[in-house]
Amino acid sequence: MKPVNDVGIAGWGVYIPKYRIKCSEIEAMWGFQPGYCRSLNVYEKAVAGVDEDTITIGYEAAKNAILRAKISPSEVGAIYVGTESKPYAVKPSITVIGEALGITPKTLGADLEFACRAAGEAIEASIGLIASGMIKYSLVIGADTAQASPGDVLEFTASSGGAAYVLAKRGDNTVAYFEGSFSYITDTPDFWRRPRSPYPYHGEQFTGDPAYFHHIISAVKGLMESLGLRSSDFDYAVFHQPNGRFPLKVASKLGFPKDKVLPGLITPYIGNTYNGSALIGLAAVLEQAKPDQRILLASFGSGSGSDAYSIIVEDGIEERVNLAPKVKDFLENKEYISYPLYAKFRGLIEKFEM
Amino acid sequence: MSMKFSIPKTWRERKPHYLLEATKCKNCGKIHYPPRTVCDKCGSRDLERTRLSGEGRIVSYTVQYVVLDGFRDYAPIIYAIVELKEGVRVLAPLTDVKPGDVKIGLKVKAVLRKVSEDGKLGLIRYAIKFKPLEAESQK
Repeated sequence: MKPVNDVGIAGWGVYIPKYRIKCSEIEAMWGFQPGYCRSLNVYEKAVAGVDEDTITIGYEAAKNAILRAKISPSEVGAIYVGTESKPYAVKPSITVIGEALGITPKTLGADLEFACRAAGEAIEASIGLIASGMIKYSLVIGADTAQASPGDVLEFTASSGGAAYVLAKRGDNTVAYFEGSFSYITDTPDFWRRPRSPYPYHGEQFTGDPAYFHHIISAVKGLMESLGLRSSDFDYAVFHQPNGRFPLKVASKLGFPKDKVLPGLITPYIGNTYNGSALIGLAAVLEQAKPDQRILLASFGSGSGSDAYSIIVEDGIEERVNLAPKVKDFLENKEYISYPLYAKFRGLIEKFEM
Repeated sequence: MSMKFSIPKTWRERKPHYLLEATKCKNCGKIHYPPRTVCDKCGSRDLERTRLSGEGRIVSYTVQYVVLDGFRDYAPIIYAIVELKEGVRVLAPLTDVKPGDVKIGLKVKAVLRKVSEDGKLGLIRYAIKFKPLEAESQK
């Protein structure tokens, strides 16, 4: 898809909680074979503190995105958060975030849900709103405090973190723009969580070929065909990162060499931040990209769907990088915690109510 | 279902709690946090809303190990008096820091965090807490 007017990125920001648990500790806790998590190419994951959730993570990422965009929060005309870990089942997260940032009340917005892909949908919706001239700036947040049943293999990767983007019409304060996009969704039951269930259920190997790989490959191929591009035309490729292995495998299937993927491959060090996953990877790439370089971004959400974007970097990006903390800063600022503290932070310990 | 939190109070206090919104006296210039309707220095009622920077230094602190019902997950809770750049003193919890790492004079910045929950079904309260600025900013 290509709008009549190009839309781009004015600012980006991320937030990754400082707490980390080593995957080897989870292995030992539940009696997995030592080295199991290495096969997933994930070594440690970020854990939200006891007072953090999707709202506080989304707020911090959004604050950094607004700093980089150098705009007044009141200029934001739409605010979306893509998440599958809303603090409230019914009560929007974006109203708290919008109020705390000084965006409300003259704005539209909503919490969107499509597993890990909801923020990708929010980007598409924002492109439409901005290109049509209905709003000037949109704030898109992807944030999660991902749930995993204790002892499930998902526990090695399900983590916490988020990213936010301020989008605007190309040339109106932007430092990169969307050259085109392609979305591909089908009814594929690879991963779900029913109401009142605290943890998701997943189809083990079924999450691979029919879900992650089929949808991302279809979206990326569709994008490249519609724009007349080949994998060699891209300088970077950022994929959704459920673990550290899948993005490298899908890149190989699509003809992208490893060195175009590694700059945006963050999951090995923080785990899978779900709606934040690909968007944190994109932020890491924007923090080293040069004008005129082309970036492939491909989201994925179970259920299933993928959005592929071609992004062209523009002049002025370098001067935005240091206006807010970088992905690298969050990776370095960390404190390791034990499994018991992790269990407390993630609410895994059921307390008897006296 | 009984709620312990006052819904109107939670709503009324959201801007001071989320944004560090204070009042500034147009007559004498004094800044008040939390906001006031009458200046406690000159008695003027001519006040305007202003947002505080959220950056300051710890003036004093205490560590609470014996906590009220519903706060055990957050324990130990460190409460600090922080003097902001504007000269206003704010009492708030600290986060992302251990009691042994807190010092008077430590530079801190405001962040939005959960401060309490009204059981498993009621409101979640969000408000400013303070966390230490990164080590390089302490100089």
